[in-house]
Amino acid sequence: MDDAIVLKGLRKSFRTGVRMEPKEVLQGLDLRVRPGSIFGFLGPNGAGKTTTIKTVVGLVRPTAGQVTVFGHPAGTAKAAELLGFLPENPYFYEYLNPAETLNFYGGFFAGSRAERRELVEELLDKFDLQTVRNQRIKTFSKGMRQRLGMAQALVGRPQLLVLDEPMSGLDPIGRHRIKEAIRDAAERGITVFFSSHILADVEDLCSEVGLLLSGQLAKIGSLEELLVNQSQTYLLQFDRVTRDTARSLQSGGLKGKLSGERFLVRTEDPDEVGPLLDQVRQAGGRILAVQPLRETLEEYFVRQAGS
Amino acid sequence: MRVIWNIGANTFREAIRNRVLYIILVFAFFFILGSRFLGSISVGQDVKIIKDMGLAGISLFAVLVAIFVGTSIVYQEIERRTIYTILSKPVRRREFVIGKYLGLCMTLATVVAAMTVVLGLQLWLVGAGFDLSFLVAISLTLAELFVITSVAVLFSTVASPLLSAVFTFCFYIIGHTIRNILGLLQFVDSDIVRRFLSGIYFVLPNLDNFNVHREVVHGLPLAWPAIGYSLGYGVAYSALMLTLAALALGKRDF
Repeated sequence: MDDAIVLKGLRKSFRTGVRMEPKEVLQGLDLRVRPGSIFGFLGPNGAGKTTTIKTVVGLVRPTAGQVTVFGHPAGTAKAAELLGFLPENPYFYEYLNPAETLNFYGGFFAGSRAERRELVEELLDKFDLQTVRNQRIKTFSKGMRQRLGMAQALVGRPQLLVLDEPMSGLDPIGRHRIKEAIRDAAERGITVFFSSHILADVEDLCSEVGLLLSGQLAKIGSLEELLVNQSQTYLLQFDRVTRDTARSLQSGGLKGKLSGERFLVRTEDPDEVGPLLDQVRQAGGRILAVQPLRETLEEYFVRQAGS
Repeated sequence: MRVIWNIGANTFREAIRNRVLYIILVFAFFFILGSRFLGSISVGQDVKIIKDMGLAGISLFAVLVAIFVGTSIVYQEIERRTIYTILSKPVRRREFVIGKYLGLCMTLATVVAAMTVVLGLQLWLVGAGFDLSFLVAISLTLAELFVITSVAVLFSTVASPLLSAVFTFCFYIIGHTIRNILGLLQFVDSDIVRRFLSGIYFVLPNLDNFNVHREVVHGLPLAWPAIGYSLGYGVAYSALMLTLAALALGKRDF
């Protein structure tokens, strides 16, 4: 099976300012998104995430390079049939209601009216829009618009969902609903490619992450590869530790915390872990946990973006 | 075709839910109804005056609708970003342009039909009625509107609604006065000005070719070959404008 998204040497320049000087937003971007994965696309503002997304969905034409969706060139009808797109802050026809909106978008795909009607009902149910099905969109809250946006992205039964900042500006309940929708789509075999600034959500959802910096892919991999392998810190937890043992454990420069008989200590040297465990055992202490501390995605992001 | 029809039907739905359309229609109805008053103070010319004013009113107010709705029809989609969710679906950009045009043409046909019904009632009240030539005049007015709409759609893909409205209105005015350019040419000495005026004459359509109001009002015979030529020319001109609009939209990044 072809990769869901393939970007090869993708470049995009825009002419800006009075002199119309070209500004290269994407500088030879290479990326592959495996089918069935939930791919988080990260990067600071201005890194080129939205431009990349727009080339994938055919709204922006690359200056150079190739973009394919399941093997079909981006922007072609065949590629568009296979993807669903939720733009950042989606806009709809304000005079339509959700049922009319979904029916309208469904009209771009093959299928009978009865099939479309059935799908529209299914999506209205799924995204809690049945109670407002006859209400005009201009009265909708941000959360309702986002849910409708997800519904319209799914209206063609896509194999790939491309979501630009799907959780931005939502309250916790709204975020939860969108995350559930993403998980549900992934469970049904749909590949999800989304950009987000809410790193906790990316960490929660994604099987793979790409970090875009200044129009180039700085890092790509699973969260485990990116975060765990970077970690050199271990958290050790002990019980039945006396004040003297705690003092002795800290004599080598380590700083720990003793609460009653519980002792917590961190070390950044993996070679130190074994001797510490031996020392506690010999002093009659009990080992509760030895835990490699994973860097959070936020820490990783800040470190990478900063460097 | 399914895609074009879907966009066209939605454009039509958008237009008929627009309040400004109804404001223009109310003015149009008053204008057409007012023709009866003017007809009543004329001596035996009431039917002619009602027909003349009615046909002129239909043309004028429908052009207002074409300019008002047509000049923002694509631009608004880009400004409001509704185009993002449409062009990311299996929709070619040319299908989008043709669909928007089709929707606007359906709106204009509905507006013209409504005004024609009001005018028909007026004529019926004074004991007159429709004949074939009257329907031909209405059809030619519609054809002219379709040409103007194609120009409005083209401007809408490249300029703001205000600029598009100004350009389209100029197109309408020049289109109706273009015969005068031929007259002007014989008085012009400058070669550059002569070439410029000739260029305008060949680039812009003669919209007066779509006007048979005089023949209809005065019961004169219709020149069928000329009508056929005008219709063919209108179709070709509209197709050219829509092709240019599709090319302009095709080159855009969103």
